[in-house]
Amino acid sequence: MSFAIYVEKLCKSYPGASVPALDGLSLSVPYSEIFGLLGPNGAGKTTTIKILCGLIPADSGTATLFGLNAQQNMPAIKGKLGLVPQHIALYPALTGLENLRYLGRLYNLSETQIRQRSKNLMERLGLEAHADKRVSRYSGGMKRRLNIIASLLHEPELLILDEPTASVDVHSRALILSFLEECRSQGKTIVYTSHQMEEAEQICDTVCIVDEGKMVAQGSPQELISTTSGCRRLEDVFLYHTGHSLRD
Amino acid sequence: MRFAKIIYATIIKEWLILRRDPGGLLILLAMPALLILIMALVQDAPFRDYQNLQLKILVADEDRGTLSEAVATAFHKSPGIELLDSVEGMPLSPVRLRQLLQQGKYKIGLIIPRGAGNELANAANSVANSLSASMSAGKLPQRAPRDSMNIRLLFDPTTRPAFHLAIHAALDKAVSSASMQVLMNRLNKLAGNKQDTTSQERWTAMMDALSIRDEQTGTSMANTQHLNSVQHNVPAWAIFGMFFIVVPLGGHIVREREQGSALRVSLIPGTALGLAIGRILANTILCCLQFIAMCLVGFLVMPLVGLPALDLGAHPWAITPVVIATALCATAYGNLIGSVFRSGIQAVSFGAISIVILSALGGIWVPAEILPKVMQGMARCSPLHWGLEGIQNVILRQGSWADVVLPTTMLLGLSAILLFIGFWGGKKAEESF
Repeated sequence: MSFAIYVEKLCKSYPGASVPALDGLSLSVPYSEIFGLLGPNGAGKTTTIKILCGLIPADSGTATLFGLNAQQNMPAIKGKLGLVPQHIALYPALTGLENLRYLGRLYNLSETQIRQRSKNLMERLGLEAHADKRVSRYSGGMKRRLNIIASLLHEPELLILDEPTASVDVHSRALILSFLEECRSQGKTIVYTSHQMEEAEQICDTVCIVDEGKMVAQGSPQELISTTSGCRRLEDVFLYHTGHSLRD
Repeated sequence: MRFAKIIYATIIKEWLILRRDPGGLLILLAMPALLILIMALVQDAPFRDYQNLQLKILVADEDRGTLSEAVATAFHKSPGIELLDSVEGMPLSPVRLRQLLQQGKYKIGLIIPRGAGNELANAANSVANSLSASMSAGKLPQRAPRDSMNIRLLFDPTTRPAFHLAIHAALDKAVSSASMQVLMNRLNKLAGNKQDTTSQERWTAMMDALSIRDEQTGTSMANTQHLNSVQHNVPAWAIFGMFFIVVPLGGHIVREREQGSALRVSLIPGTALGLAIGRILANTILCCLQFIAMCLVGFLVMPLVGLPALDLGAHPWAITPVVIATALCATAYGNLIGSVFRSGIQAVSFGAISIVILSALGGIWVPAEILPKVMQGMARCSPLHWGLEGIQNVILRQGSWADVVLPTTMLLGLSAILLFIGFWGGKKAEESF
């Protein structure tokens, strides 16, 4: 079986840190699935994403995306990859449309492509009426939605989202989740990190729970719930594997 | 094609962001314009030559003889100097003169003691007698010289040392001239020559036979400019203002990194160089426009406040490469600050303070020539020094294209170093996303 992402024995330590951020992490993400990367704070989720996006090198192990080694083929991989960072990675002084136009030009899209794709995506995520409004005047939910659109403009095959629904209202969350499901139906592979277990249980085909830099459980939410004793929800599974102690 | 598109897109983006940042525009345009205006006004008086100032010199003349006349004649030839021998209708005595100086109402006073002219005549007789002895001519009356006879020059403590020297030299010349004239009269008398207007004219012609004329270096004498407040302050503070691009640019780069937009664009393949060039170009163009705006202040606003208009010299276009290189260097420095510092406050604070330090070193506040030797050596490390040097070569020293080669090369070299460090810092910063 081929995977969109295949990670094997990934290790990473930051200078000065007492414990490694990743300690032999292995996971695999099938094509056209929503894959939930779950874990408490400091579990290694962000480090994994950074390595997958080529932002930092791994100390050892391999990360393969679309069959290509992430460290050796990053330019080719970047074109197929869309990252939705946890922060609103946009220019607040520009309007929504100006942000998309700028990014589209950097992706070498034609003006027609930029216009059409921006229009479609903004319509789909309910921002068409706010296209000419500066991002600094958007609400939190609107910014989150535009943050996702900006990562989809070049039509990537793989979308990595770092807590895309953090601090958003119920309506925006529902819209974002239904949109992600729509992306999956279009054949995109989605890697999604969140602290919202209910949300992950609802939309993820597969979830991987990581803790202390290692994978502690992987499978479909239902599979994990049914095979973990005494668990009725994904949150129970999460707490079962990661414990109840606070992580800051 | 794609490369050009990235550069174009980045220039448009930078322009839109700047246009919507009133604070940044204020720092870049309004504040330097105000600074130029204020500094030019404040430094106007210190930059003026003493000849341009109206100086009133109090004279307590207790002698009222030929020496007094000679001194009065000498100073009357100096434009801007007025001798006052009475104040409020009262003739000045030495005591009154000192009082007026102590009150700070006047800056300079001159006391010619009683008998000064006689002392001069006695000295001249002495010289004439010694000459006539060898020629078996007659003898003039002579007595022993008096040690205490001095012309006294008094200054208010706030008077600039340059004025002391200038007035002292002018007085010295007047006394020498009077001494020579008295001596010539005495020799004529011994020789039995009549004192007539012809001999007086000959004497005057001899004194004027060899005079000193001021000239400036430069290829076009017609356009030669004196260093005045406007000629120094407009280019100096315009360069200072250009380097203040560090504040909005450095802060903007840090903000992009904090907000994540830098991360987003770093994930777009093949954009790194185009993005960097686009940003550098956009801000370099902005700095050049800023310099033009400051020159317009020099041309149009300075005359409105009673200052001379800025004159760009005989070859005004020769400042173009210096201005572009200075703008590039300022932008490269802003890029470095934004790349190296991790927080906006650090970047903005360090950027602003470092520009003030570099400007002081570079001769923006006072000309580098009057700094100590060590500081003059350090000034060469400041890009602001080379920017000012290049522009002054053109607008003050009447230089042309050849005279801006060295400053331009130095600025481009410094820019290359700053861009390299900035690029390296940017790579390091990417690892912290």
